[in-house]
Amino acid sequence: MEAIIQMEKVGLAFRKGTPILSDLNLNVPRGSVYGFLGPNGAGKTTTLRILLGLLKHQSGTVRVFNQDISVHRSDILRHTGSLIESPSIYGHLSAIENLQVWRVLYNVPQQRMNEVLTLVGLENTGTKPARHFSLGMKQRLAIAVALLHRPTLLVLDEPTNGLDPEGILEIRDLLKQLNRDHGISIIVSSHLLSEIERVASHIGIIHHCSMKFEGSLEELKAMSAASGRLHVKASDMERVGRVLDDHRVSFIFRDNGIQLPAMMPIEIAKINRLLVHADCEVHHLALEKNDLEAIFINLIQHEK
Amino acid sequence: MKNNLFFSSIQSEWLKAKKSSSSWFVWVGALFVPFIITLIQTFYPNRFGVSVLDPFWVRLFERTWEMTAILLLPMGIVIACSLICQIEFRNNTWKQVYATPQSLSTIFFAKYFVVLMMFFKWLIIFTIAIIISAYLPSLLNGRMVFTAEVIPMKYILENAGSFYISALPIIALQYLLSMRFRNFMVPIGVGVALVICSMFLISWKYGYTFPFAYTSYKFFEFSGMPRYTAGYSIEALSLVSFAAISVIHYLLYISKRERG
Repeated sequence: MEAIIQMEKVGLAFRKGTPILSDLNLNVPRGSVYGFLGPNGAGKTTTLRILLGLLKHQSGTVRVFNQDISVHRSDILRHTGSLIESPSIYGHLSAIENLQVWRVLYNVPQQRMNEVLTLVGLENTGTKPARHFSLGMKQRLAIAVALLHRPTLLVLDEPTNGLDPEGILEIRDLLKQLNRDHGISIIVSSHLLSEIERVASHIGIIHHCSMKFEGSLEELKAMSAASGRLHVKASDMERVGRVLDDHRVSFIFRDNGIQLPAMMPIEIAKINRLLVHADCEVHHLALEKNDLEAIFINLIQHEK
Repeated sequence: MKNNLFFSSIQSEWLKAKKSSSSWFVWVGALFVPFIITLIQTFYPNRFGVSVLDPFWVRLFERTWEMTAILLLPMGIVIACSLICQIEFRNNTWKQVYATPQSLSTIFFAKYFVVLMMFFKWLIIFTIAIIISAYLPSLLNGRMVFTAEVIPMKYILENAGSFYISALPIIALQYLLSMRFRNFMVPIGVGVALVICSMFLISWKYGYTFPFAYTSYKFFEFSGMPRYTAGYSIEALSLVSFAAISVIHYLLYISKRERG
């Protein structure tokens, strides 16, 4: 799949010896919703700021629409909509006046302002100054600003920060709709996997300045299944251990039980038969899969 | 295309400033002194009476510019410039501005142009308000005769233009400070300190080297009491320091690594 964003070995350090980004590679496929995950301070916002030319990287290459951001910044930004951190809204202006400020810059027809206001559900705000909007309304207006010039790429940094559950749902549905109905590629950052997995087709996980995982959501889910464990509990764990040893099955004692690597259902049945024949009173035999959250935690804790 | 974007950028900046506190401040600042003059003339109608040696309009303009040039205008520029640049800081919009396809130079000069236009707007409102302040009391009490005098438009416009030029270095420096510091108090504090310094430096031999004092210098020249400027015209000194501060600011601005 063609990449709309390619970052290769991107590095940045404000102070020598303390990198903000270190050899970061990031590839966002065209037409995807790319969930950019990482704990706070991992380098998500810095990466997105580099993508928008707000910050200059010191090494590596950043290409958007197959053009170098250092050379073709204006051309790239003409087709990119963005929302970085908190919404950028002029509080003394109404929703339509806010859009007017950006409309003249992008040379967009007047009618487009009403279209985007309707799209984000702010068509009835009239002359109310934006400073009196709720955070959710401000966030939606910021998305309207980002969509005003019909961008082909949206860069959103934690767009649901501070929103109530209903607001989060609204933004999530809006992103899905924009991707599905308008074909807009979206890179959206968050520190919450649960939020991203419901909207993203691709995932990138950043931690300690570099990428720890990048791939499709299916790949991450497959990783989740492969990293599962078979957990066994019986009345006599010593006996279970001896039986497994005799049959050269690798295991470890953990959580008052025995933990074996993940296996196919037919193999689980074999283990069960083996233990029952050896008179082990098995009262717990379960394949415990790692959910995505656990994978995410594992990936970022592995580094600590 | 680039020219179009520059005009669009100016339009965009004007839209932001138009309804902001800076715009209201320009109106209030421009009408304050003429309002005081109107009150004085309404209650003391002969204060600016006719004199063969000293025409009414000359005295009126001297009086209004005296209050304005030395203190109110520099102070007003300090506050208005800071308010205009604070629009972006306060609303957290710098990052959005920099994420548009405008070049850095376009952003810099479009905002600068709007700051200069705001001051121009102040000057127009101020000049018209002075003229009205002369007529309004006579219409109210019907006792004054000066309105028979022809308004010396050439004199008024020439002097207004000179005051505009003499204030350019203050605008340039305040624009620099307001664009560089997120904290509103820094440009205001430094600006006010420099205005106060200018009041002391006006009587110093080398006071003409201090750009914040040029509006005062212009006023003394205007009222027939010119101060020592080593033979340089205040307008020339103002334009040179305005250009120098602007160039330094532009170089500092485009060399910033992080934006927004």
